[in-house]
Amino acid sequence: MKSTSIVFGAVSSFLLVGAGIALYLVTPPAFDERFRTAIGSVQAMQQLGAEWSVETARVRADPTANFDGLAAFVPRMKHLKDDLSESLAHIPDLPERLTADSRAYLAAMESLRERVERFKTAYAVIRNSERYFPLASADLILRAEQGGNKRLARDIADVTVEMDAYLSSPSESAREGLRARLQALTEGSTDEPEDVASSLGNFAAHALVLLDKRSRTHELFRGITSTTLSERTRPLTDVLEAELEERRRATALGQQAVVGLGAGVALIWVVIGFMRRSQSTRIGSSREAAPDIDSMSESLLADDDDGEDARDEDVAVVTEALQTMDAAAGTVGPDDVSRSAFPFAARDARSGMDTGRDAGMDIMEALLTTGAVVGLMGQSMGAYARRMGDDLSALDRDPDAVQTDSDAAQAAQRLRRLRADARRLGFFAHRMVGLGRHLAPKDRESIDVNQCLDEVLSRVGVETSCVVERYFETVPDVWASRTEVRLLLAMCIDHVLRSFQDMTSFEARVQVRTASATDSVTISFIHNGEWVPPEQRMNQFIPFYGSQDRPAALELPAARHLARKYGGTVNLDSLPDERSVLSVELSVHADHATMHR
Amino acid sequence: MRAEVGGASLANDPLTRAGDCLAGDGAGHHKFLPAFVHSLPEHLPYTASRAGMCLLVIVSGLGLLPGHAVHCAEPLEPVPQQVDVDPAKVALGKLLFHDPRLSRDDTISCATCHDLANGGDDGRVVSQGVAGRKGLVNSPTVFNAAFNIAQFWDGRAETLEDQIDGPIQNELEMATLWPDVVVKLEEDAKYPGLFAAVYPGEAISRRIIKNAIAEFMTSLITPDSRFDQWLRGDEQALNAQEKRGYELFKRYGCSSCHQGRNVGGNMFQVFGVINDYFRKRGGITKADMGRFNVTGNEEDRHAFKVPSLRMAAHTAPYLHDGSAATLRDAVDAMFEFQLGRTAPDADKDAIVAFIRTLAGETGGPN
Repeated sequence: MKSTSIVFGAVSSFLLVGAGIALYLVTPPAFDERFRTAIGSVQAMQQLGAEWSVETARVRADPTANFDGLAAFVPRMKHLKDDLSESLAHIPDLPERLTADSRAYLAAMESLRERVERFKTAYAVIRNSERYFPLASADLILRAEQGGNKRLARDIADVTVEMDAYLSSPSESAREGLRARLQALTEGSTDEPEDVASSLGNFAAHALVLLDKRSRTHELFRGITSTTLSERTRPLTDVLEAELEERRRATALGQQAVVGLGAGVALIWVVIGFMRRSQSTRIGSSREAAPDIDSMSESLLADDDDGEDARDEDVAVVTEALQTMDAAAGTVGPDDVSRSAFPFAARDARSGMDTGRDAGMDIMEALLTTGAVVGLMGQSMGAYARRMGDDLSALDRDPDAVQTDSDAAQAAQRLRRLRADARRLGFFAHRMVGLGRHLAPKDRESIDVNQCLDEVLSRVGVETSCVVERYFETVPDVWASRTEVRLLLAMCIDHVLRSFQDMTSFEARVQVRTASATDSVTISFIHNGEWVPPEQRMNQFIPFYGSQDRPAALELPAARHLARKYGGTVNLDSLPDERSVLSVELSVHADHATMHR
Repeated sequence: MRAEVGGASLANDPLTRAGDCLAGDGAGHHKFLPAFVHSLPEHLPYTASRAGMCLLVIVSGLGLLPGHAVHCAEPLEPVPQQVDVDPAKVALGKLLFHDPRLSRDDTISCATCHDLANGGDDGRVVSQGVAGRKGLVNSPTVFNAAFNIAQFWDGRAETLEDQIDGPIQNELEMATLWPDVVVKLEEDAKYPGLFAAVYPGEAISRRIIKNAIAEFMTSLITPDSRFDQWLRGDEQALNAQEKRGYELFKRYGCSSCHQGRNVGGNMFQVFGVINDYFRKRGGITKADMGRFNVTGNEEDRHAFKVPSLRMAAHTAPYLHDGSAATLRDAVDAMFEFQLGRTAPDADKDAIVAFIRTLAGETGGPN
C-alpha cells in the first residue's frame, strides 16, 4: 500500500511536473515590458512629432529664428526610433501586420524628419529671397533709371508687381509667365552695364527661388504640421495593445495551466497523505487504545508496587498480556508502519518487485488488518479476563488459600482488586472486539471461491516467486465479504511465500487445491517451504507470538480470525523435509457466517 | 531675449525664449517657459511662482533690471559653458584621439587632421592620410562638432560615434581595420588597464574605442568667445566694426543658415543656391555632389551641412573643397553663390571681423 501509493504519487507527480515544465516552456511570455516600451516610444514619437510641428511653425513665424530647436529633435527622434525598433525586434512571432504597421510608422517618422530638413533648407533660402527681392527690385529700378534704361526699369517694376500677385495667389500659369519674363530679362542683360547685369542676375535668381521653392516650402510645412503621424499613432498603439492583451491572455492561460498542474500534484499528495493518515488513524485506533492500556498497566503495576506480592502469578499473567498487546500496538503504530506489519508487504519485500495490485485492495487490506488485529487483541484480553475471573472465583471459594496470606485483610483487598481489574480487562476487551467488528466490512455476497482464489493468486503474482499448480474442483459459493475472503486467501499465500523466504537450495513449489464437503469449502496450500515444528504450529496462530524469530507473523492469526467469521478455520500441518499443508475451511451457509467469539 | 539666472545661461536651450513664455499647450504646461521655471519647487503655487519668474525673464530681457543688458532673441546663441561628459572617458578618448596607432602605419592620428591647437583642423586644402594620400574634402574643425546635426560635409554620420568609423577605415585617411586597432591597443602596456578602469568588465572593442573618442570629441567645446560674452551682456566684448559686422551678417541673410549656438551645423544647404558655384568652378567631383551621395535625392545635389563658423578664424582654408584661402574669400563666395547679393568691401570686412569674434576658448572646463 505504502509503496504503491508513493510510486503512484511519484509517477503522477513526475508526469504532471513534466507536463507543467513543458507547458511553461511552450507558453510564450507576454513581453510586457517590450510592448510597453514600444507603445511608449510610439506615443513619445507622436508627442515629439507634434512638438516638432509646433517648433516648425514657430520658426516659420519668426524670420530671425534659428534652427537649433528643430535640430534638437533629431537625436530625440533617433533615440525613440531605436527604442521602438529594438523593442519590436526582441518580440518574437510578431504578427506581420504589426510589423508592417510599425515599419510604416517609422517610415512616417523618417519622412517627417526629412520634411523638416528640407523645410529648413528651403526656408532659409526663401526667407532671404523674400526679404531681398523687394530690395533687389528697387535697386535695379534705380540703377536702370540712373542709366536711362526706362524700359528695363518698367519691366522690373512689372515683374515685381506680378511676383507680388503670384506670391499672394500662386498659379501655374502665372508661374510659367513669370519664368518666361525672367528668362527674357536675363538673356537681355548682356547688353547692360556689368553692375546692372549682375544686379539683374541676382534679381532673377531670387525671383526664381521664390517661384520654385516657395510653394514647395509651403507644401513641406503643411506636411510637417499635418496630423498624419497622429492619425497613424492611435491605430498602431491599439494594435500593440491588442497584441499585448492577447499575449497576456495566452500567458495567463499557460500560467494557470501550470498552476493547475502544480495543484494537481499537491492534490495527489494530499490524497495520498489523507489515505495514509486514514490508514494510520485506523491503525491508530488500536494505537489510541495504547494509552488506555498503558494507563491500565501503570495502574496495575502501581497497585502491585503497593503490595508485597508484585511477582504474583496472576498479575504477571495480566502484565504479560498487556505487554503483548502493547507490543502489538507499537508494531502497527502510525509512525512505525513497517512493511513487515502487512502480509503483502512482506511478500513484496521478498520478491523484490511491485506486483502492481490495485490501490483500493491495499487500502481495504490495511483496514481489515487493523480490524483483525484489534479484534484479536480483544479476544486475547477477554480470554485473560475470563481466566482471571475463574481463578479469582476459585480462590474465593477456597478460604484456605487466602489464609496462607499473613494478613487476611490484605488478602481480601487483593482479591477485590483482582476482581475489579478483571472487570476492567473484560470491559476493555469488549470494546476492542467491538472496534474490530466496527472496522470489519459488512458487505457480503455469494463468492465463487475458485475464481476468487485464482484472482488473488494472479494479483499477488505468486508465479513470480514459485511454481504454482492449481487443482480446483467445482465448489459451492460461500456467502462472505469478497474483500475479506481475498484478504484471507492473500494472507495464507503470504504465509506460504514467507516459508520460502530462506529456502534457496530448491525450487519453490506450491499446490493449490479446492475441494468441497457437505457444508464447507476447503482450500489447501501444499508447499515445500520451511518446516514448522509441531511445538510451534499452534503458536503460529497467536498474534505476534513469533515476532522474534518470524517477524510480524500475523498472517495465520488474521486468516484464522477471518475464517472463523464465516464458520470456518485455518489449520497448519507440516512434515519434516517433505511438505506443509495450510488448509482453509469456509462454511457455505450464511447462517454460519457469524462472528466467532 | 535671453536671461541669465544664478550664473546658468538660459540661452543654451533654444526653447527658452522669453517671448514665448505665454505660449502653452493648453494643459497648463508652458513649453517655452525657461527650464528653471519648470524646475521650481512644486510646493510653490504654480501660477504665482511661474508667472512671476516669467515676468522676471521678460523684464530682464527688456533691460529693465540693473546690470548687463542681455542680447536675446538673436539667431545666434552662446556656446554652453560645459557639457555633460564622463571625465574618465574623456581622458581615455583624448589618448586615443592623439594615438597614431589608430592608423594602418602608425603615422596618422585623429589629431593629425584635427589639430586641437590649430582650430581643430589641419590647415590644408584637403587632408593628408597615410602614405601622403590626399583626401577629397577640406577637413572640418572638430570643435563643437557635438552640436552639429550630423557629421561630415555630407552628413552621412548621424552621431560622433558613427563618424569615427569613417576616417579610421577610409583608405585615404587612416586606412586601417578595427580588428587591427583593437589588437594594437590590447598589446599596449597601458591601454588594457585604462579601458578596464573606464569600461569595467568589457574587453577592448570597436564600440568602446569609439565611445571614448566620441566622449572626448563631445567635450571639445569653445565657450566664452567674445561674441558670446557680448550676447551675455558685455557690450565691451565687441568693437564697433564687429558689432556692425554682426548686424550685416544678419541683414545680408548669412544668419539664415549660419545660426544657432554653433553658427551653422544645424541644417543642410545647397551650395550655389542662387548662382551655380560648380559650373563656375568646373571639375565637378563625386565629393562635390554632397548629400546627394547619401540620399540619392536630386534635391540634395550639391547640398552640404552648413559648416560652423565658430572656429572659422583658425580653420582656413574654407569651403568643402578648400577653395577659399581666406575668410574674406569665403565671404565673397557666400555673397556670390548663396546670397546672390553684392556688398561693399567694408561690409564684408566687418562681417569677417565679426566672424573672428566667434572663436572661444579651446581649453575650457572640459
